[in-house]
Amino acid sequence: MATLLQGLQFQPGASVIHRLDPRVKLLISTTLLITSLLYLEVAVTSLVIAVELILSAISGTAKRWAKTVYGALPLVILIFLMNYLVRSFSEGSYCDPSIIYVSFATAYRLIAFLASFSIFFLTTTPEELGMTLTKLRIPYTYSFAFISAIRFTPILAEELQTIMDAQRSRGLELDRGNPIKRVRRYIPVLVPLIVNALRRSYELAEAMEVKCFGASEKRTFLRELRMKPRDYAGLAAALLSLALAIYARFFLELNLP
Amino acid sequence: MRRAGEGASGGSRLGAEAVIKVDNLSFRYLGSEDYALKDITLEVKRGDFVVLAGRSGCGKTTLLRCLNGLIPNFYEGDFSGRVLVCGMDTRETPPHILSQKAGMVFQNPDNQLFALSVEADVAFPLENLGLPREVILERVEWALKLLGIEDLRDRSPFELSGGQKQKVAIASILAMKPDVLLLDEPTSSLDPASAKSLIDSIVELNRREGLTIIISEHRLELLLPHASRLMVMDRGRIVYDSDPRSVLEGGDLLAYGIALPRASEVARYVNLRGGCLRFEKIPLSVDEFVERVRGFIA
Repeated sequence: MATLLQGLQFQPGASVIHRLDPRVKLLISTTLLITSLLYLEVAVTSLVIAVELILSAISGTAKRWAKTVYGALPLVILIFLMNYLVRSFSEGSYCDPSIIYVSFATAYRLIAFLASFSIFFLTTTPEELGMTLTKLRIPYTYSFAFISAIRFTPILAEELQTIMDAQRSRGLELDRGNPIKRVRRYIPVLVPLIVNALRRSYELAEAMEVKCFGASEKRTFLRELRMKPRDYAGLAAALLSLALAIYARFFLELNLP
Repeated sequence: MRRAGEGASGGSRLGAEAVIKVDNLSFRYLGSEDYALKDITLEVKRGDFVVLAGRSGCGKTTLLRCLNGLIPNFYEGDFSGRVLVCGMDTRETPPHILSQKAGMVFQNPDNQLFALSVEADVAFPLENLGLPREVILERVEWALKLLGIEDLRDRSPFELSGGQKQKVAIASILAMKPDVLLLDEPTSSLDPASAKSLIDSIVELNRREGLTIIISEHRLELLLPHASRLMVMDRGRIVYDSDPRSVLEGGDLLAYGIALPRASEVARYVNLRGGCLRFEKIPLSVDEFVERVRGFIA
Protein backbone atom coordinates (compact mmCIF):
# COMPACT_ATOMS: atom_id res chain seq x y z
CA MET A 1 0.00 0.00 0.00
CA ALA A 2 2.79 2.39 0.92
CA THR A 3 4.56 1.81 -2.42
CA LEU A 4 1.28 2.34 -4.23
CA LEU A 5 0.89 5.74 -2.55
CA GLN A 6 4.42 6.79 -3.46
CA GLY A 7 3.10 7.43 -6.92
CA LEU A 8 1.04 10.27 -5.47
CA GLN A 9 3.95 12.10 -3.88
CA PHE A 10 5.36 15.14 -5.64
CA GLN A 11 8.84 14.67 -7.02
CA PRO A 12 10.71 17.91 -7.78
CA GLY A 13 12.03 18.43 -11.28
CA ALA A 14 12.28 20.89 -14.15
CA SER A 15 11.06 18.79 -17.07
CA VAL A 16 8.56 19.88 -19.71
CA ILE A 17 5.89 17.95 -17.86
CA HIS A 18 6.73 19.67 -14.59
CA ARG A 19 6.39 23.06 -16.22
CA LEU A 20 3.12 22.22 -17.91
CA ASP A 21 0.06 23.96 -16.50
CA PRO A 22 -1.41 21.68 -13.80
CA ARG A 23 -4.87 22.00 -15.34
CA VAL A 24 -3.54 20.50 -18.56
CA LYS A 25 -1.87 17.72 -16.62
CA LEU A 26 -5.13 17.10 -14.82
CA LEU A 27 -6.86 16.75 -18.17
CA ILE A 28 -4.16 14.41 -19.52
CA SER A 29 -4.50 12.16 -16.49
CA THR A 30 -8.28 12.26 -16.78
CA THR A 31 -8.07 11.33 -20.47
CA LEU A 32 -5.87 8.35 -19.64
CA LEU A 33 -8.24 7.35 -16.87
CA ILE A 34 -11.36 7.57 -19.02
CA THR A 35 -9.72 5.77 -21.93
CA SER A 36 -8.65 2.91 -19.71
CA LEU A 37 -12.20 2.68 -18.40
CA LEU A 38 -13.80 2.75 -21.87
CA TYR A 39 -11.87 -0.15 -23.30
CA LEU A 40 -11.37 -3.66 -22.08
CA GLU A 41 -9.22 -4.53 -25.09
CA VAL A 42 -5.68 -5.41 -24.18
CA ALA A 43 -4.27 -3.48 -27.15
CA VAL A 44 -5.81 -0.17 -25.99
CA THR A 45 -4.82 -0.77 -22.38
CA SER A 46 -1.27 -1.41 -23.55
CA LEU A 47 -1.33 1.84 -25.48
CA VAL A 48 -2.52 3.75 -22.40
CA ILE A 49 0.19 2.19 -20.27
CA ALA A 50 2.77 3.00 -22.94
CA VAL A 51 1.69 6.66 -22.99
CA GLU A 52 1.84 6.79 -19.19
CA LEU A 53 5.30 5.28 -19.25
CA ILE A 54 6.55 7.71 -21.90
CA LEU A 55 5.16 10.73 -20.04
CA SER A 56 6.72 9.66 -16.78
CA ALA A 57 10.01 8.95 -18.55
CA ILE A 58 10.03 12.47 -20.01
CA SER A 59 9.37 13.95 -16.58
CA GLY A 60 12.08 11.80 -15.00
CA THR A 61 9.65 10.15 -12.61
CA ALA A 62 9.60 6.73 -14.26
CA LYS A 63 11.06 5.06 -11.18
CA ARG A 64 8.29 6.32 -8.94
CA TRP A 65 5.70 5.49 -11.56
CA ALA A 66 7.06 1.95 -11.82
CA LYS A 67 6.83 1.69 -8.04
CA THR A 68 3.14 2.51 -8.24
CA VAL A 69 2.67 -0.25 -10.78
CA TYR A 70 4.72 -2.62 -8.66
CA GLY A 71 2.76 -1.67 -5.55
CA ALA A 72 -0.46 -2.34 -7.44
CA LEU A 73 0.57 -5.86 -8.45
CA PRO A 74 -0.93 -7.72 -5.45
CA LEU A 75 -4.22 -5.93 -6.08
CA VAL A 76 -4.02 -6.75 -9.80
CA ILE A 77 -3.41 -10.43 -9.10
CA LEU A 78 -6.28 -10.48 -6.63
CA ILE A 79 -8.65 -8.94 -9.21
CA PHE A 80 -7.54 -11.48 -11.78
CA LEU A 81 -8.12 -14.43 -9.46
CA MET A 82 -11.49 -13.18 -8.28
CA ASN A 83 -12.66 -12.52 -11.82
CA TYR A 84 -11.44 -15.87 -12.96
CA LEU A 85 -13.01 -17.81 -10.10
CA VAL A 86 -16.35 -16.03 -10.16
CA ARG A 87 -16.70 -16.27 -13.92
CA SER A 88 -15.57 -19.89 -14.07
CA PHE A 89 -17.90 -20.82 -11.25
CA SER A 90 -20.93 -19.24 -12.88
CA GLU A 91 -20.07 -20.69 -16.32
CA GLY A 92 -19.20 -24.09 -14.94
CA SER A 93 -16.03 -24.54 -16.98
CA TYR A 94 -12.53 -24.03 -15.65
CA CYS A 95 -10.32 -23.82 -18.71
CA ASP A 96 -12.27 -21.52 -21.01
CA PRO A 97 -9.67 -19.30 -22.75
CA SER A 98 -12.17 -16.46 -23.17
CA ILE A 99 -12.71 -16.35 -19.41
CA ILE A 100 -8.99 -16.22 -18.84
CA TYR A 101 -8.71 -13.42 -21.40
CA VAL A 102 -11.48 -11.31 -19.89
CA SER A 103 -10.12 -11.78 -16.38
CA PHE A 104 -6.66 -10.83 -17.53
CA ALA A 105 -7.91 -7.79 -19.44
CA THR A 106 -9.82 -6.55 -16.40
CA ALA A 107 -6.82 -6.91 -14.13
CA TYR A 108 -4.46 -5.41 -16.71
CA ARG A 109 -6.76 -2.43 -17.12
CA LEU A 110 -6.44 -1.78 -13.40
CA ILE A 111 -2.75 -0.98 -13.88
CA ALA A 112 -3.50 1.70 -16.46
CA PHE A 113 -6.29 2.99 -14.24
CA LEU A 114 -4.27 3.23 -11.02
CA ALA A 115 -1.19 4.72 -12.68
CA SER A 116 -3.07 7.35 -14.69
CA PHE A 117 -3.07 10.01 -11.98
CA SER A 118 0.55 9.44 -10.99
CA ILE A 119 1.56 11.70 -13.89
CA PHE A 120 -0.43 14.53 -12.35
CA PHE A 121 0.55 14.03 -8.73
CA LEU A 122 4.21 13.23 -9.35
CA THR A 123 4.89 16.44 -11.23
CA THR A 124 2.59 18.97 -9.56
CA THR A 125 3.74 20.90 -6.47
CA PRO A 126 1.27 21.15 -3.58
CA GLU A 127 1.18 24.89 -4.26
CA GLU A 128 0.14 24.34 -7.87
CA LEU A 129 -2.50 21.93 -6.61
CA GLY A 130 -3.92 24.72 -4.47
CA MET A 131 -3.83 27.16 -7.38
CA THR A 132 -5.56 24.60 -9.58
CA LEU A 133 -8.36 24.31 -7.05
CA THR A 134 -8.72 28.09 -7.01
CA LYS A 135 -8.83 28.18 -10.79
CA LEU A 136 -11.48 25.48 -10.82
CA ARG A 137 -13.64 27.99 -8.91
CA ILE A 138 -13.57 26.06 -5.70
CA PRO A 139 -14.21 28.59 -2.87
CA TYR A 140 -10.99 29.75 -1.22
CA THR A 141 -12.07 28.42 2.18
CA TYR A 142 -11.93 24.90 0.75
CA SER A 143 -8.67 25.24 -1.11
CA PHE A 144 -7.24 26.86 2.03
CA ALA A 145 -8.34 23.81 4.02
CA PHE A 146 -6.65 21.60 1.46
CA ILE A 147 -3.38 23.57 1.56
CA SER A 148 -3.48 23.55 5.37
CA ALA A 149 -3.85 19.79 5.32
CA ILE A 150 -0.67 19.53 3.27
CA ARG A 151 1.03 22.10 5.47
CA PHE A 152 0.19 20.52 8.82
CA THR A 153 0.20 16.79 8.13
CA PRO A 154 4.00 16.48 8.56
CA ILE A 155 3.82 18.54 11.76
CA LEU A 156 1.14 16.28 13.20
CA ALA A 157 3.12 13.22 12.12
CA GLU A 158 6.12 14.55 14.00
CA GLU A 159 3.96 15.20 17.03
CA LEU A 160 2.56 11.67 16.86
CA GLN A 161 6.10 10.30 16.88
CA THR A 162 7.01 12.43 19.91
CA ILE A 163 3.95 11.29 21.84
CA MET A 164 4.59 7.65 20.96
CA ASP A 165 8.18 7.97 22.14
CA ALA A 166 7.06 9.70 25.32
CA GLN A 167 4.48 7.02 26.12
CA ARG A 168 6.90 4.22 25.25
CA SER A 169 9.45 5.67 27.63
CA ARG A 170 6.72 5.46 30.29
CA GLY A 171 6.38 1.76 29.63
CA LEU A 172 3.57 1.65 27.09
CA GLU A 173 4.01 -1.32 24.76
CA LEU A 174 2.53 -0.50 21.39
CA ASP A 175 3.62 -3.52 19.39
CA ARG A 176 2.49 -6.41 21.54
CA GLY A 177 -0.68 -8.40 22.00
CA ASN A 178 -3.56 -9.23 19.69
CA PRO A 179 -5.03 -6.63 17.32
CA ILE A 180 -7.80 -5.57 19.70
CA LYS A 181 -5.36 -5.06 22.54
CA ARG A 182 -3.06 -3.11 20.24
CA VAL A 183 -5.80 -0.74 19.20
CA ARG A 184 -6.68 -0.15 22.84
CA ARG A 185 -3.05 0.59 23.60
CA TYR A 186 -3.14 3.46 21.14
CA ILE A 187 -5.65 5.37 23.26
CA PRO A 188 -2.94 6.99 25.43
CA VAL A 189 -1.30 8.13 22.21
CA LEU A 190 -4.41 9.41 20.49
CA VAL A 191 -5.83 11.41 23.39
CA PRO A 192 -2.83 13.75 23.74
CA LEU A 193 -2.58 13.97 19.96
CA ILE A 194 -6.17 15.15 19.65
CA VAL A 195 -5.87 17.54 22.59
CA ASN A 196 -2.74 19.06 21.03
CA ALA A 197 -4.39 19.34 17.65
CA LEU A 198 -7.34 21.18 19.19
CA ARG A 199 -5.04 23.53 21.04
CA ARG A 200 -3.09 24.13 17.84
CA SER A 201 -6.27 24.84 15.92
CA TYR A 202 -7.08 27.61 18.39
CA GLU A 203 -3.68 29.18 17.88
CA LEU A 204 -4.08 28.88 14.13
CA ALA A 205 -7.45 30.60 14.27
CA GLU A 206 -5.88 33.42 16.24
CA ALA A 207 -3.07 33.80 13.70
CA MET A 208 -5.57 33.73 10.83
CA GLU A 209 -7.52 36.50 12.54
CA VAL A 210 -4.38 38.59 12.88
CA LYS A 211 -3.56 37.98 9.22
CA CYS A 212 -6.97 39.25 8.14
CA PHE A 213 -8.31 35.93 6.85
CA GLY A 214 -11.65 36.53 5.21
CA ALA A 215 -11.33 40.30 5.55
CA SER A 216 -12.09 41.05 1.92
CA GLU A 217 -14.92 39.67 -0.16
CA LYS A 218 -12.68 39.59 -3.16
CA ARG A 219 -9.38 37.99 -2.25
CA THR A 220 -6.47 38.59 -4.59
CA PHE A 221 -3.78 36.05 -5.46
CA LEU A 222 -0.13 36.90 -5.87
CA ARG A 223 0.63 33.90 -8.05
CA GLU A 224 -1.92 32.62 -10.52
CA LEU A 225 -1.83 29.98 -13.20
CA ARG A 226 -1.41 31.32 -16.72
CA MET A 227 -1.72 29.22 -19.86
CA LYS A 228 1.28 29.47 -22.21
CA PRO A 229 1.36 28.36 -25.89
CA ARG A 230 2.92 25.07 -24.80
CA ASP A 231 0.01 24.53 -22.41
CA TYR A 232 -2.52 25.14 -25.15
CA ALA A 233 -0.73 22.58 -27.32
CA GLY A 234 -0.92 20.05 -24.50
CA LEU A 235 -4.55 20.91 -23.91
CA ALA A 236 -5.40 20.41 -27.60
CA ALA A 237 -3.58 17.08 -27.73
CA ALA A 238 -5.34 15.80 -24.62
CA LEU A 239 -8.79 16.93 -25.82
CA LEU A 240 -8.24 15.39 -29.21
CA SER A 241 -7.16 12.05 -27.74
CA LEU A 242 -10.14 12.05 -25.42
CA ALA A 243 -12.55 12.81 -28.26
CA LEU A 244 -10.96 10.13 -30.42
CA ALA A 245 -11.18 7.57 -27.64
CA ILE A 246 -14.86 8.28 -27.06
CA TYR A 247 -15.69 8.40 -30.78
CA ALA A 248 -13.90 5.15 -31.57
CA ARG A 249 -15.54 3.40 -28.66
CA PHE A 250 -19.12 4.35 -29.46
CA PHE A 251 -19.25 4.97 -33.20
CA LEU A 252 -16.69 2.65 -34.77
CA GLU A 253 -16.90 -1.08 -35.04
CA LEU A 254 -13.50 -2.01 -33.73
CA ASN A 255 -12.13 -5.44 -33.77
CA LEU A 256 -9.20 -5.30 -31.45
CA PRO A 257 -7.54 -8.11 -29.57
CA MET B 1 7.07 54.48 9.17
CA ARG B 2 8.66 57.39 10.94
CA ARG B 3 12.21 57.55 12.03
CA ALA B 4 12.66 57.37 15.79
CA GLY B 5 14.83 59.86 17.62
CA GLU B 6 18.21 58.68 18.81
CA GLY B 7 18.95 57.83 22.41
CA ALA B 8 16.74 54.91 23.24
CA SER B 9 17.17 55.20 26.98
CA GLY B 10 15.02 58.08 28.08
CA GLY B 11 11.81 56.33 29.06
CA SER B 12 8.79 57.30 27.02
CA ARG B 13 9.48 59.90 24.37
CA LEU B 14 8.20 63.32 25.22
CA GLY B 15 6.22 65.06 22.55
CA ALA B 16 5.86 62.01 20.31
CA GLU B 17 2.30 61.06 19.46
CA ALA B 18 0.68 58.21 21.39
CA VAL B 19 -0.04 55.18 19.21
CA ILE B 20 -1.56 53.14 21.99
CA LYS B 21 -3.60 54.45 24.90
CA VAL B 22 -5.02 52.19 27.56
CA ASP B 23 -7.39 53.56 30.21
CA ASN B 24 -8.40 51.58 33.30
CA LEU B 25 -8.41 48.31 31.44
CA SER B 26 -9.57 45.19 33.28
CA PHE B 27 -10.27 41.84 31.69
CA ARG B 28 -11.46 38.45 32.86
CA TYR B 29 -11.61 35.47 30.50
CA LEU B 30 -14.96 33.75 30.15
CA GLY B 31 -15.19 30.95 32.68
CA SER B 32 -12.32 32.24 34.76
CA GLU B 33 -12.66 33.45 38.36
CA ASP B 34 -9.79 35.92 38.45
CA TYR B 35 -9.16 39.00 36.44
CA ALA B 36 -6.20 38.49 34.11
CA LEU B 37 -5.71 42.25 33.88
CA LYS B 38 -6.53 44.67 36.67
CA ASP B 39 -7.00 48.36 36.09
CA ILE B 40 -4.23 48.96 33.61
CA THR B 41 -3.46 52.41 32.32
CA LEU B 42 -0.61 53.10 29.95
CA GLU B 43 0.45 54.99 26.91
CA VAL B 44 2.90 53.97 24.21
CA LYS B 45 4.46 56.65 22.04
CA ARG B 46 5.52 56.28 18.45
CA GLY B 47 9.05 54.87 18.24
CA ASP B 48 8.99 53.35 21.73
CA PHE B 49 10.67 50.02 22.34
CA VAL B 50 8.81 48.45 25.23
CA VAL B 51 9.93 45.24 26.91
CA LEU B 52 7.22 43.46 28.83
CA ALA B 53 8.53 41.19 31.58
CA GLY B 54 7.10 39.10 34.36
CA ARG B 55 6.60 35.48 35.28
CA SER B 56 4.46 33.21 33.14
CA GLY B 57 0.78 33.80 33.72
CA CYS B 58 1.22 37.40 34.91
CA GLY B 59 -0.92 38.80 32.10
CA LYS B 60 1.64 39.70 29.44
CA THR B 61 -0.05 37.70 26.69
CA THR B 62 -3.48 38.97 27.72
CA LEU B 63 -2.28 42.58 27.61
CA LEU B 64 -0.81 42.07 24.13
CA ARG B 65 -4.08 40.49 22.97
CA CYS B 66 -5.90 43.59 24.22
CA LEU B 67 -3.57 45.89 22.32
CA ASN B 68 -4.50 44.54 18.90
CA GLY B 69 -8.15 43.81 19.55
CA LEU B 70 -7.99 40.01 19.78
CA ILE B 71 -9.56 40.80 23.13
CA PRO B 72 -12.48 41.55 23.09
CA ASN B 73 -13.12 40.58 19.45
CA PHE B 74 -11.79 37.00 19.48
CA TYR B 75 -11.75 36.10 23.17
CA GLU B 76 -14.86 36.46 25.24
CA GLY B 77 -14.95 37.73 28.78
CA ASP B 78 -15.59 40.74 31.02
CA PHE B 79 -13.96 43.75 29.47
CA SER B 80 -13.95 47.15 31.08
CA GLY B 81 -11.99 50.29 30.36
CA ARG B 82 -10.83 51.43 26.98
CA VAL B 83 -8.02 50.65 24.54
CA LEU B 84 -7.23 53.05 21.71
CA VAL B 85 -4.96 51.95 18.87
CA CYS B 86 -4.05 54.90 16.64
CA GLY B 87 -7.13 56.60 17.99
CA MET B 88 -9.46 53.68 17.24
CA ASP B 89 -11.42 52.01 20.01
CA THR B 90 -10.70 48.25 19.89
CA ARG B 91 -14.28 47.45 20.86
CA GLU B 92 -15.70 49.22 17.83
CA THR B 93 -13.11 48.41 15.17
CA PRO B 94 -13.09 45.11 13.26
CA PRO B 95 -9.97 42.94 13.80
CA HIS B 96 -8.73 43.18 10.22
CA ILE B 97 -8.51 46.97 10.51
CA LEU B 98 -6.75 46.78 13.88
CA SER B 99 -4.33 44.16 12.59
CA GLN B 100 -3.06 46.63 10.04
CA LYS B 101 -2.26 49.08 12.83
CA ALA B 102 -0.98 46.73 15.53
CA GLY B 103 0.50 43.55 14.09
CA MET B 104 0.97 40.57 16.35
CA VAL B 105 3.58 37.81 16.24
CA PHE B 106 3.02 34.74 18.42
CA GLN B 107 5.22 32.25 20.24
CA ASN B 108 5.05 29.24 18.01
CA PRO B 109 6.22 30.03 14.48
CA ASP B 110 4.74 26.82 13.07
CA ASN B 111 1.23 27.94 13.90
CA GLN B 112 1.57 31.25 12.07
CA LEU B 113 2.66 30.03 8.67
CA PHE B 114 -0.07 28.76 6.38
CA ALA B 115 1.33 28.71 2.89
CA LEU B 116 3.72 26.32 1.22
CA SER B 117 6.39 28.86 0.35
CA VAL B 118 7.95 31.81 2.17
CA GLU B 119 6.82 34.27 -0.45
CA ALA B 120 3.24 33.03 -0.31
CA ASP B 121 3.30 33.27 3.47
CA VAL B 122 4.41 36.89 3.46
CA ALA B 123 1.80 37.66 0.82
CA PHE B 124 -0.97 35.82 2.71
CA PRO B 125 -2.39 38.75 4.75
CA LEU B 126 -2.15 41.10 1.77
CA GLU B 127 -4.03 38.64 -0.42
CA ASN B 128 -6.66 38.36 2.29
CA LEU B 129 -7.04 42.14 2.25
CA GLY B 130 -7.59 42.01 -1.51
CA LEU B 131 -4.73 44.36 -2.41
CA PRO B 132 -3.74 44.61 -6.07
CA ARG B 133 -0.99 42.25 -7.18
CA GLU B 134 1.65 44.93 -7.88
CA VAL B 135 1.26 46.34 -4.37
CA ILE B 136 1.57 42.87 -2.86
CA LEU B 137 4.70 42.12 -4.84
CA GLU B 138 6.31 45.38 -3.80
CA ARG B 139 5.46 44.94 -0.13
CA VAL B 140 6.60 41.32 -0.03
CA GLU B 141 9.92 42.45 -1.50
CA TRP B 142 10.20 45.20 1.08
CA ALA B 143 9.34 42.97 4.05
CA LEU B 144 11.71 40.18 2.99
CA LYS B 145 14.53 42.68 2.61
CA LEU B 146 13.82 44.30 5.97
CA LEU B 147 14.43 40.99 7.72
CA GLY B 148 17.22 39.93 5.39
CA ILE B 149 15.49 36.78 4.21
CA GLU B 150 15.22 37.45 0.46
CA ASP B 151 17.17 34.26 -0.22
CA LEU B 152 14.49 32.17 1.50
CA ARG B 153 11.74 33.36 -0.84
CA ASP B 154 11.10 30.06 -2.61
CA ARG B 155 11.72 27.74 0.32
CA SER B 156 8.94 25.74 1.88
CA PRO B 157 8.26 26.15 5.61
CA PHE B 158 9.48 22.58 6.16
CA GLU B 159 12.97 23.53 5.09
CA LEU B 160 13.34 26.42 7.55
CA SER B 161 14.84 26.53 11.03
CA GLY B 162 12.75 27.85 13.92
CA GLY B 163 14.48 31.23 13.80
CA GLN B 164 13.96 31.56 10.06
CA LYS B 165 10.29 30.64 10.44
CA GLN B 166 9.84 33.31 13.09
CA LYS B 167 11.46 35.87 10.78
CA VAL B 168 9.03 34.88 8.04
CA ALA B 169 6.16 35.30 10.49
CA ILE B 170 7.40 38.79 11.37
CA ALA B 171 7.86 39.69 7.68
CA SER B 172 4.32 38.61 6.91
CA ILE B 173 2.98 40.89 9.65
CA LEU B 174 5.25 43.78 8.63
CA ALA B 175 4.02 43.50 5.05
CA MET B 176 0.76 45.01 6.32
CA LYS B 177 2.83 48.06 7.34
CA PRO B 178 1.56 48.27 10.91
CA ASP B 179 2.32 51.21 13.22
CA VAL B 180 3.08 48.91 16.14
CA LEU B 181 4.64 45.46 16.21
CA LEU B 182 3.55 43.28 19.12
CA LEU B 183 5.61 40.18 19.85
CA ASP B 184 4.59 37.54 22.36
CA GLU B 185 7.70 35.67 23.51
CA PRO B 186 8.94 35.20 19.95
CA THR B 187 12.16 33.44 20.98
CA SER B 188 10.73 30.90 23.40
CA SER B 189 11.20 27.95 21.05
CA LEU B 190 14.56 29.06 19.67
CA ASP B 191 18.14 28.14 20.53
CA PRO B 192 20.35 30.95 21.90
CA ALA B 193 22.05 31.74 18.59
CA SER B 194 18.78 32.00 16.61
CA ALA B 195 17.24 33.98 19.47
CA LYS B 196 20.04 36.51 19.29
CA SER B 197 19.77 36.81 15.53
CA LEU B 198 16.00 37.32 15.80
CA ILE B 199 16.30 39.93 18.55
CA ASP B 200 18.99 41.76 16.56
CA SER B 201 16.54 41.99 13.65
CA ILE B 202 13.83 43.32 15.93
CA VAL B 203 16.18 45.92 17.41
CA GLU B 204 17.12 46.98 13.88
CA LEU B 205 13.44 47.47 13.00
CA ASN B 206 13.11 49.90 15.87
CA ARG B 207 16.39 51.72 15.22
CA ARG B 208 16.32 52.02 11.46
CA GLU B 209 12.62 52.10 10.68
CA GLY B 210 11.46 53.74 13.88
CA LEU B 211 8.88 51.01 14.29
CA THR B 212 7.11 50.98 17.64
CA ILE B 213 7.73 47.66 19.33
CA ILE B 214 6.16 45.97 22.33
CA ILE B 215 7.75 42.64 23.10
CA SER B 216 7.19 40.21 25.94
CA GLU B 217 10.34 38.25 26.58
CA HIS B 218 12.30 36.31 29.15
CA ARG B 219 15.68 36.92 27.52
CA LEU B 220 16.20 40.42 28.90
CA GLU B 221 19.94 40.31 28.46
CA LEU B 222 19.70 40.83 24.72
CA LEU B 223 16.89 43.36 24.78
CA LEU B 224 17.43 45.77 27.66
CA PRO B 225 20.40 47.67 26.20
CA HIS B 226 18.14 48.70 23.31
CA ALA B 227 14.80 49.11 25.05
CA SER B 228 13.36 52.49 25.86
CA ARG B 229 10.99 51.10 28.48
CA LEU B 230 10.83 48.11 30.74
CA MET B 231 7.38 47.21 31.95
CA VAL B 232 7.14 44.64 34.72
CA MET B 233 3.85 42.90 35.30
CA ASP B 234 2.68 40.87 38.25
CA ARG B 235 -0.70 39.23 38.74
CA GLY B 236 -2.46 41.37 36.17
CA ARG B 237 -0.97 44.69 37.21
CA ILE B 238 1.91 46.78 35.96
CA VAL B 239 4.33 47.12 38.87
CA TYR B 240 7.16 48.98 37.13
CA ASP B 241 7.13 51.06 33.99
CA SER B 242 10.14 53.21 33.29
CA ASP B 243 13.43 53.21 31.43
CA PRO B 244 15.22 49.89 32.03
CA ARG B 245 18.01 51.31 34.18
CA SER B 246 15.71 52.98 36.67
CA VAL B 247 13.66 49.80 36.95
CA LEU B 248 16.77 47.70 37.59
CA GLU B 249 18.04 50.18 40.15
CA GLY B 250 14.72 50.64 41.80
CA GLY B 251 13.37 47.25 42.66
CA ASP B 252 13.93 43.65 43.44
CA LEU B 253 12.95 42.11 40.14
CA LEU B 254 13.75 38.58 41.23
CA ALA B 255 10.59 38.65 43.31
CA TYR B 256 8.65 39.03 40.07
CA GLY B 257 10.28 36.04 38.42
CA ILE B 258 12.61 38.06 36.26
CA ALA B 259 16.24 37.14 35.68
CA LEU B 260 18.43 40.23 35.44
CA PRO B 261 21.15 40.45 32.83
CA ARG B 262 24.29 38.95 34.35
CA ALA B 263 26.26 42.21 34.16
CA SER B 264 23.53 44.11 36.03
CA GLU B 265 23.33 41.39 38.64
CA VAL B 266 27.06 41.46 39.33
CA ALA B 267 27.05 45.26 39.53
CA ARG B 268 24.19 45.21 42.01
CA TYR B 269 26.00 42.66 44.11
CA VAL B 270 29.18 44.74 44.09
CA ASN B 271 27.21 47.80 45.21
CA LEU B 272 25.53 45.81 47.94
CA ARG B 273 28.83 44.58 49.34
CA GLY B 274 30.20 48.09 49.44
CA GLY B 275 33.89 48.74 49.01
CA CYS B 276 35.94 50.88 46.73
CA LEU B 277 34.29 49.92 43.41
CA ARG B 278 30.83 51.35 42.98
CA PHE B 279 28.50 51.49 40.00
CA GLU B 280 26.57 54.76 39.98
CA LYS B 281 24.65 53.51 36.98
CA ILE B 282 23.68 49.85 36.85
CA PRO B 283 25.10 48.50 33.58
CA LEU B 284 22.59 46.87 31.22
CA SER B 285 25.12 45.02 29.12
CA VAL B 286 28.54 43.46 29.44
CA ASP B 287 29.97 46.32 27.38
CA GLU B 288 28.73 48.92 29.82
CA PHE B 289 30.06 46.86 32.68
CA VAL B 290 33.52 46.61 31.13
CA GLU B 291 33.52 50.32 30.37
CA ARG B 292 32.79 51.16 33.99
CA VAL B 293 35.51 48.85 35.29
CA ARG B 294 37.99 50.35 32.81
CA GLY B 295 37.05 53.81 34.00
CA PHE B 296 37.67 52.73 37.56
CA ILE B 297 41.10 51.35 36.82
CA ALA B 298 42.19 54.38 34.83
